[in-house]
Amino acid sequence: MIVSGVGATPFVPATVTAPTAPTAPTRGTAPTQGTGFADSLASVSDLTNSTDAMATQLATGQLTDIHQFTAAAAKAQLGVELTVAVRNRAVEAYQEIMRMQV
Amino acid sequence: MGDMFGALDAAASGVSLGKTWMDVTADNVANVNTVRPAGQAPFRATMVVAQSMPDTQGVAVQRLVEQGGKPDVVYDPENPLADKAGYVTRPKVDLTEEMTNMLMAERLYQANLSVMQQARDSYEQALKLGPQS
Repeated sequence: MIVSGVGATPFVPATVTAPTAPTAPTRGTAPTQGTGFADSLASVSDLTNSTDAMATQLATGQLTDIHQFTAAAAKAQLGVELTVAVRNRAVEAYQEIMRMQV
Repeated sequence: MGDMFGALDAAASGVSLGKTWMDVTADNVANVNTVRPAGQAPFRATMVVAQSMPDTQGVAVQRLVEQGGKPDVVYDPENPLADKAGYVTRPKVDLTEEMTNMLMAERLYQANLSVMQQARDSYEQALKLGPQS
């Protein structure tokens, strides 16, 4: 059926690329700490990049759904906060070991 | 699921549905008096058909359908859009129903925004777990 005369924008799923959740390391074949963290960093970078793109679209009037931007911004912020938290823990652990008396 | 921010995405899809519903309802209300010339099909209210997405990913608009039923035909020979017998076909829109839909769409929008807010707060709380450095 062709529905005409409706000025409504059809539903478009959020264009934000879902962050690839870091795969749970299986016992025995666990990836090294470095690659997992690098992947997470890349996905956080994707999140912030898509938020930036959406901010531009919002400013130029191309983005019709306001909440898509706010949702993307929330995700990017949470991603960055998570990264900082992980980094803080890693640095903390490193310093703890460096303080060890030998 | 499996997404890091699954609750945020699902709630965002609900907000999208609420927005589509509000848009459609606004269009219906705007056309509540739109009479089309004789011979043309009358305006019919659009309805949103929602569909749940697999794997708890939220909701999506499946399609938009036009309301069925017989539109009112009134005798109004003075109307420039009347047919030769003097009858005008009114648009098939129930204003009461549309206003109720608008309320529900608004609540749907707000509820999902509230879920987004709470999910965000929860994720932030999770980040604050443990000793602060």
